[in-house]
Parts: sequence; structure tokens; C-alpha cells
Amino acid sequence: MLNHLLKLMWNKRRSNGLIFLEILLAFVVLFGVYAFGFYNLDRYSSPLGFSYENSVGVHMDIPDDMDSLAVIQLQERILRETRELPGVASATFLGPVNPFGGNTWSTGSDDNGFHLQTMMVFADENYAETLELEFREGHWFTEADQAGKYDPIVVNGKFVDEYYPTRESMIDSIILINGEKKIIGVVDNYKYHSNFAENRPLTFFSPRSWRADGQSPFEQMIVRAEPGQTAAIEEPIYNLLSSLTKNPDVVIWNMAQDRIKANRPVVIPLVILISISAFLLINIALGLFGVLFTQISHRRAEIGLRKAMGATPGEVTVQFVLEVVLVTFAGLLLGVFFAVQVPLLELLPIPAKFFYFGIVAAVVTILLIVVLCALIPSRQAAGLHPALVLHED
Amino acid sequence: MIKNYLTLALKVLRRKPFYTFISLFGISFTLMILMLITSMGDALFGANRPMSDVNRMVFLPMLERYTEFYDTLYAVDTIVMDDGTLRYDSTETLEPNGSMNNSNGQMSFSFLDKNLRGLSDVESYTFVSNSSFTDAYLDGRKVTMSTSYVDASYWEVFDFRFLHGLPFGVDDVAEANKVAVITERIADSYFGEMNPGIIGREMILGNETFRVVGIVERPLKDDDTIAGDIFLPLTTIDARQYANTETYGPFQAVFKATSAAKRESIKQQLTFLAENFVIPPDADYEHIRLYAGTATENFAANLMQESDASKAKLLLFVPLITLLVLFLALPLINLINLNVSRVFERKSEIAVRKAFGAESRDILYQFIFENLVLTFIGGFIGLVLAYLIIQYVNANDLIGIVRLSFSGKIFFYFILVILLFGLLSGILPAYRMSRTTIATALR
Repeated sequence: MLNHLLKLMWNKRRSNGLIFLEILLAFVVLFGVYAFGFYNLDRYSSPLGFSYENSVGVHMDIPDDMDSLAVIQLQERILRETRELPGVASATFLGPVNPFGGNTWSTGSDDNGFHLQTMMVFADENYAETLELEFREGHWFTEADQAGKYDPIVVNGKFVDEYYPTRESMIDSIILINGEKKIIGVVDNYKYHSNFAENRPLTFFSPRSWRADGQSPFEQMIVRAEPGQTAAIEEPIYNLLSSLTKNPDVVIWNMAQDRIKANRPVVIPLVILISISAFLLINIALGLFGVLFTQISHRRAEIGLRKAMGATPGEVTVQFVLEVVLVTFAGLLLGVFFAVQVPLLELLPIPAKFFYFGIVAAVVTILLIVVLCALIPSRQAAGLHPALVLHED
Repeated sequence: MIKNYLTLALKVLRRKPFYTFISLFGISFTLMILMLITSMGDALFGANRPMSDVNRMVFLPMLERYTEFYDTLYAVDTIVMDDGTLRYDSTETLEPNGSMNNSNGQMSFSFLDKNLRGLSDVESYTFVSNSSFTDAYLDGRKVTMSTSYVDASYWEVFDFRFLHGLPFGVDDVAEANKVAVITERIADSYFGEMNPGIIGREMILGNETFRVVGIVERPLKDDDTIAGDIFLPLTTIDARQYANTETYGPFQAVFKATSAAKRESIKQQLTFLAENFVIPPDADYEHIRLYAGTATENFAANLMQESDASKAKLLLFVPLITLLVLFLALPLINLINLNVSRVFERKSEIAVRKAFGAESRDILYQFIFENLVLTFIGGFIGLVLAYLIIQYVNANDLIGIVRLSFSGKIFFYFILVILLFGLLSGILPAYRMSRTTIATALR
């Protein structure tokens, strides 16, 4: 049977050559799109870990000529008066690294050969409450924690999973990150660049660590509004802050919109790629259908003969479908050969499993389309009555 | 003759509506996407207003300050002399060990003002700061404006199209007059209307009041230096920024060379300037580097996060072009495939024509012509679809402030693409058809 089919294929090598090429190219495109898609889907599935839906970000300019005590008093007053505004649920100050802001600060430390690398976020005592962080263990820093011997830090779950996977509890551990720091809490998740960012180890530092570096004061705030009040609180906050800081440079942004903007660099190419490949697939399916339809209808005499010799419609259908599937296999084989080079030679800095998923998904999709496109004309042809077909010739 | 062919082509297309639909679907979508890509490419790389002279421009978006670390290598050589004594030779070399402390960012006005004026081969140049945002509230409605602080020569370097009013001049900048040039989009969202009456009206930005002197059309080109919503004299920027004597600040520089070939000269002058820059004695860095490049170089370097411009260009354009070729090849092969398998259907027609004396060449031309007719119909549908999408993108600001255009130039490219597509997909099938032998076909 197989020998017979291969002979048939070889006899029609010209038109099969084009189908082969088409399958090969389609596989390459699909493989790329699937691998990219799976990779980003995997990242998207890891949660952000904080609430942004009703929050706004605020940037203000605190005058440079104030001394540090006056700055602290001003910040306390800003927080107090912001919370008193109608519609405001909670407010917090944070350092220059804000969610969806596109900034990355990171630091590494080498503790007697134990190397760790972590992203840095600086925030004040109200951060966990305003962003509704969920804790795996411990708690957020309080005033009391900052008065202790060690600077307190809070880390995210990924930090523990990556560097201390076997430890039962991290609370009260003293570790080396820019000096000795005491872990007082572990949040479940916190990844802040975008939904498509990689979940990486991260550490929250308290205002005490920030001030120790002699940096300029926190000039960003996150204000969480009561549900539905997000747009309404923007103008009162603007008026309040520009009068308190005596500077009109107050910029307010909606965090929900900021998230969409931060996701855009992945979402836009993804949407474009998916819609283009969907179009290519439809195009290929229709084209293949047309080609097979013409080809098969040219072989009516052959079908009639086979049926007259006792072949069932099922057998005829299987023969036609198998013919096309064989050509497809040849194309896919060559495609897979090229595709596996990507993870094997580590051409791209993406985990290998996504490429294997991509290969499998692309093979399945193409086979499905080919079988569907071959099945319909084959079945139609197989249903022909031998007397009718043979009579025509 | 042509008319005959045309009637024939349309008849054939109508005879098999299903195949015509498949072909048209493939052609029109492919050409639509090509059209959109061309349009995007034109917005990114084309010489459009307000950057009609982009091919003569050198951009200097940032400055790098760095300190290289050196290792001292101490080597001792021993040589046995003829008389059996040993001679010692020691050398000490100081080499950079590859690591460095560096930071990069935009520049301060004073740095640009002091060092970058008076380069040769420069026709005009401008210093611009476009990293600020201003929120303005109007009846509780927030209007966020990206604010550019520019000098008077900005309007010479970039040929913005003024819908109403005029740019501000040298005097306005020197006297720090509170005047503003705004884009049509801001005119519409701030004043709620767009007409000559807005010129002379006041806008409250922060706690200062600016007078609108000009309204410019939205840019047809995507670039950081022209993407502002509102343009103010650079002397009105925050006083601390203006007086700042550090190298860092919010400014960048754009130079327009006297000719495209002179851009290299400007880049070399900037490199020379950086190498010979006198570092302030109390600075915590030892060298500076100026990242000057053409628009395309900077675009690629920025996107690929690669400071070497030529490498960045390769990294960006090789995969992009591969992707485009793949994308084009698939529908093309599909179409060829379809056409080839349909040759059989018309065997008898060709054989009859040949029997009556038609040359192979005539048949070839006829089928290529038929295919071109099909491609042009598909191309037209694609054109309409692309036009609708471009309108949608422009109306909803999907790609920022840039407006995708639908110019004659693009239309011309498009006709070329249709012709190419039609010829490529038609030649092989037509060639096979024309070789049909009469005897077998008429059997």
C-alpha cells in the first residue's frame, strides 16, 4: 500500500512539490507564532499580586531646599489630607520604581559564594494595604520594625522559591543585600513591569534603607480609590498636591490604563502575528481545498475502476487522504528538523520547552487542516458510482 | 485584442466563483497587509513632514559617562646571559580589564550650549527637551500633554505644517515669553474646537498662563523629537533645569547637515568632541561618549538595546525581512499551486486555440494577462480594506500621535507590488499552459 502511494506521489512530484513547499513554510511560520504565544501565555499566567483596578499613580515635586524633617512632615500631611478626600480608600508613598513604570532597579550580593540577584522596590509603611498585597508569611514593615537593629525587608515568593526553596520559614532571617537585612515578610506574588514580565526575585526596602543612602525623598504616590471613584479623585488630588508642594508639576495617571500600556509591547505584536497567521491558515486551507478538489476530480476514472474492482468508498477515501498526508509528513519532517535546532543550539534565550510545545502544536494544526481539506473532496469522489464515471470516459 | 482578453478573463473568473473567491481572498488580504506595512514603514523611515530632511539629519539623543577599570600587569622576564649570569627584566603594563562604571542619559542645556554650537557642515541645529508631561484640568476633565521645550531654530530644522498662526521666534525664546505652539489634537481636546480663533487665546499650564501662537498639523512621522503635543520656548523650562551645569539634563540635539554625505562628518566631529572633552575635576567619571546617529540607526539601536548602530540594524532588519519574505511566499505559493492545478481545466481551450494557429507566446501572454486582471481586482479590494484600517487607526490614535498616510508615493509602490505579485504568481502556470500539446489535449 505504502509503496503504491509513494509511487503515485513521485509521479505527481511537480504539483506535490508545491504542496510540500507550502506545508514547510506554513510550519515554520506556525512554529514561530506558537512558540512566542506559549512563552507569553506562560508569563501571563503568573499573577501580578497587587491591585491596580481602582488606583492612580501620582508624581509630585517636593522642593529641594527642605530639610529631611520638614520633608517627612510634609509627606505625612500629604498622606493624611489625601486620605481625607472623599472617594479615597488608601494612599502610600513609594520610591522611583512604580508598577508599570518601566523602571528596573536591581542589586546582587555575594555572601561567601552564595550569589543572589534581586530587583528592588522602595515603599513606605502603607504600601501593602494600598496595593492589597497577599502575604505568604509575616507582615509588612511598621514603624517599630524600622526602629530595630536591622533594616527590615519584605521579599516576594519567587525570591524564596529561587534562593531558599527548602527553608520552611524565612521570617527573621538575616541576609546580605546591600548590608545585613532582616526578612519580616514574604508576599505571595509581586511582579510589576507588566502581565508579560517574567516573575523574578524581588525585595521591598523600607524608607529607612532609602534614607540611609542619602537619596532625595520619595516623590511618587499610589492612591487607591473606592470602586468607581477613580476618575473623580484625580482633580482633587491634583489641587491638593499642587498647593501643598507649591509646585504645579503634579502628574496623575490611571494604573489600570498604565497596565494596558505596559502590556502593549507584547500584546500588539502578538495580535498582529496571530491575525496574520490565522489569515495565512485560512488562505492555505482554502487553497489546498481547491487544489485537491481539482486533482481528485481528474481521477474519476481511476476511482471508478477501483470501485468496480470491489473497493469500498472508505478505502478510496483513505487512499486519497493518505496520499496528501504523506506529502505533508515529508514537509513537516524537514520543518521539524530545522525547528529543533532552535532549542538544541540554544539560539534564543527562551526555555526549550516552549519550542517543543510550538513544534507539537504546529504539527497538529497543519495535519488537522490537511486532513479536513482532503477528506471533503475525497469522500465526495468516493461516493461516485462506477457505472457513471466509467461511462463518461 | 486587450479588450478580448479582458472579456475572456472576466468570463473565466465568473465561471468558477469558488476558485475566484479563494484567489481573491488570498490576494486581497496579502496586499492589504503589505499596504499597511508599507504605510507603517513610511511613517517610521520615510522622509515625511515635519522631517522632510530626515536624510540630512544627525540625532544626538544621549550621552554616556564612564570610567574604565584598569589592571596593572607585572611581568618578570629572566634571561640567561652568555657568561651564565641571570638578567632580570620586568615590565609593568596598564590595560583596561573590560569592566567599567557607566551611566547614560540625555544632556543638560548648558552642556549643549557650551560645546555643540559651531560645528561645521551644519545647516541648522536645534536643542530640544521632550521628556516632560503636563496635566491640565478643564472643567474636571484631564488633558495630559507631552511638553517639548524647544529653541527658535527647531522650526527651521523641522518643517511642521502650520494650520493657523506662526512659530515663535528668536526674541520670544531670548525673553522667555509665555507663548505656545500646539498640535491640532490638543487644540481639539483643550479648547474643544479647531479654528483660527484659538490663536491668541490663553492656556493655563500648571500655574502659568501661555498664549497660543500657532497650531501645527499632527506629524506624519514617528519620532521622539517631534512627538510633542505642545511646544514652549526652552527658556520657560524649570529654572533649575535651565541653569543646571551638570552634563545630564533633559535635552537632546538634532543637527541638519548641508548634505546627506556630510552626516558622517558631523558624527566624526561629535566623536572628536567627546574624546577631547575636558572632564570637570570633581566628576566621578573619566570619559564621555556621544551617541550620535541617523534616524534609522537610532531607531534600530533603541529597539534592539544595542549601542553599536550597524550591528543593531542587522539584528533588526534581517529577522524582519525574513518574516516579510515568509509571509509573502506563502500566499504566493498558494496561488501558484491553485493556478497550476487548474491548467487541466482549460487544456481543450488552449489546444483549440493552438490548432487554429496561436503561438505558445500568445497563450503565455493571455494567461499572464488574465492573472494580472485577477491580481488587480484583489489589489483593489485590498486597497479599500487597508484604507478603512488606516482610517480606523488614525481616528483612534492606536499608534500614538503619528498619522498613517495614504500618499501618492505609497499608491505607486502599491501598484508595483500588485504587478510583481501578479507576474510572479502567473508566470509558472502560464508557462505550463502554453506548452500544452494539441494532440494529447484534444484526444
